[in-house]
Amino acid sequence: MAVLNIENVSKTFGETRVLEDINISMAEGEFLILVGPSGCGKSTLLNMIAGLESVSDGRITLDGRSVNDASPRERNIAMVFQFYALYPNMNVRRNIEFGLKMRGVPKAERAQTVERVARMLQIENLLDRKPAQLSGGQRQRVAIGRALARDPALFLFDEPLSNLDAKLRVEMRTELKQLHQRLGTAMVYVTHDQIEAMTLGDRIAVMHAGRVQQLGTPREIYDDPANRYVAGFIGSPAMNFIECGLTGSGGDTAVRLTGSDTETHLALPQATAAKLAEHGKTRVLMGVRPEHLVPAAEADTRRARVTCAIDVVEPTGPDTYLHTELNDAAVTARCLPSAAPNTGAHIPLAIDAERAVFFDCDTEQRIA
Amino acid sequence: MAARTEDGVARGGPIARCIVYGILMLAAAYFLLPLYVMLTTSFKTLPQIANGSLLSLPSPFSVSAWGDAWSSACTGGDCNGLHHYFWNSVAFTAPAVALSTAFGALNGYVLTKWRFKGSELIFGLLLVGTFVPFQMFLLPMARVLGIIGLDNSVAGLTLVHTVYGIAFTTLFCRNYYVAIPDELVKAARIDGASFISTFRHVILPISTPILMVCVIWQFTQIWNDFLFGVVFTSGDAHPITVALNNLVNTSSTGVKRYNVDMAGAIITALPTLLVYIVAGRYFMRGLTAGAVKG
Ligand SMILES: Nc1ncnc2c1ncn2[C@@H]1O[C@H](COP(=O)(O)OP(=O)(O)OP(=O)(O)O)[C@@H](O)[C@H]1O
Ligand SMILES: [Mg+2]
Repeated sequence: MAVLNIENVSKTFGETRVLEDINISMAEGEFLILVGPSGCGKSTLLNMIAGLESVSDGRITLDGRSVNDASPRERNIAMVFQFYALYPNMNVRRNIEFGLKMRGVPKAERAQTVERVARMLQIENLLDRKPAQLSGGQRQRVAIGRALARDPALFLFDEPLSNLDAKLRVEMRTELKQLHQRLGTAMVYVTHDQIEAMTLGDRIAVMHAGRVQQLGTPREIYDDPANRYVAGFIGSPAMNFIECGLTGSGGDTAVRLTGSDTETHLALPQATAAKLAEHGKTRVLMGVRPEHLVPAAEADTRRARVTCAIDVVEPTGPDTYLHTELNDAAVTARCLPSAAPNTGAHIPLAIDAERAVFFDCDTEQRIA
Repeated sequence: MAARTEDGVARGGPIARCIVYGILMLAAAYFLLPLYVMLTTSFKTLPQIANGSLLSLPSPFSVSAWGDAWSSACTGGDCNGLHHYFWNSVAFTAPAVALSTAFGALNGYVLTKWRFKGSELIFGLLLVGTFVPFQMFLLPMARVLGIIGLDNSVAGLTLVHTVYGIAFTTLFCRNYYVAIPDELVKAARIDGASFISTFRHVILPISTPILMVCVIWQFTQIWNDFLFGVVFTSGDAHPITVALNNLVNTSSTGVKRYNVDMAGAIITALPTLLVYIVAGRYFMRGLTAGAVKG
């Protein structure tokens, strides 16, 4: 049975519509990520699940029970906030047990729970401190501890790591993942960090402009983006988008690519070619990730190649990125650091046509 | 030249500093002198006041004027001193301060953390209440008190001061609570706390500074009020400010007893002073530190 079911949910604040027709179903124990740019409605959706915001339209069910009109107290959920929201007047122990106290759990049982949670998060030595006496990372642990104390059916996280510095963020990310594996409780996790989304999620909902653009596993989202928005949002450096004309017909449809001088015809896999031909337009938007656009020397010799002038060489450590132009669009290619060309060099780049995706130039929806 | 001091604030050189402290000391003396005269005069005997200098110390030292002011000086009709009126003032000031502060805190909490349609409008209207001068209230309030049967009573004065004070306390508390992150209240709701228990366990414990501001402000306003007291009460129900005025202006023997007047004035002013000293200590800053990213 689904832990959480969101059916045709919309949200309006006065005249403005911030969420439109959201449909998400979550399985038991699943780790679901809501990812999207600032202002796309992630927090609003999470608050609606928590009961902190009303549902304008549609239905939310938790454990099979409709909770549209239930108060947060009546929902079996716990939530961790971006800015910790620890009660400043209470020490760590009282922060953690507050939810239990409000629900009338007896004192002895509360003490036991605090012990268990503190051990799990390794904050036993902090129990008597006030939040003001903690570091950012410790505060976030306490905030998570407060949620863990209640053993809910569903955890909600609203960008819990975005306040931490880069190193701590990576550590906590791993800890959260371990925590999820240990507890096996379903979690909804809001972030605008696509790396967090990819590393943590069982499934990812990419949101934009109040809609779920795509809901799928990290692999599906990365390899099979539903539209240009998702393709561009997930992946770093971002996917390259190249507008190109088509030649040939049916299964022989190919795309025209112009690098620094000569034009090349990039042959496509049968199925892709057929779909493009069927779509019927003469121009399409091709999406290629940087790792599928590499110097020809590193690639299979059978791949189509196009010579490009390298404008910028950008070493990052494990990879070096090359900035150049294809069909007058700025694109990024990836190469091995040891084989990096010099700036200004003209080198042949190979494109992995198997992995290229195609979008309609106007609707930006996926064609093939 | 500006010199760096240990707290990192640049201050002037020794000469500039002498000038500043000199001016400050003069200003302090200017304000303290009347207090000195009041205090010394209250411990003098009448002949000493008539013949001695204004600034001389009392000799012999006499506390009889204080006793008179407290229990036997004439305040208009009767001659029982100020003590009865002192307790009158306590009787309406204490509940009025407590009630207006409590309502102000609740209003501020609702207006910032449980906003509803029209809450901004209500706050705007309450704000107008802080601009309305006392005098405008007098007639309508007198009428209202008459209708509900609370005229000429301590309960009536309590009501008037509570209502008038709510506008101020709401303004103070609302502006304080606006700065408290909403997420705290959200977290409490998720934790299962109700409207009231969120207020009690989460908001109230971090409100001490603003509550003290309210208490000091309200106590000073209400205790020192003369106008409402003189208009809405008469005779036995007068507050101490009105009684003091009567004491100073009543002379049974035809001699002006300056020592009793001064003792009475100090007795009247003492509670406000006390509130400043006691409540001022709770003026702590940074009570919300650590609630959110800090
Ligand atoms: N109470 C409100 N009244 C009116 N509009 C609101 C309200 N709360 C949020 N919004 C609007 O709803 C939209 C979505 O807000 P939300 O906080 O859900 O964004 P978000 O995806 O969480 O963004 P971020 O990543 O910055 O936290 C925003 O355009 C915001 O302006
Ligand atoms: Mg948000």
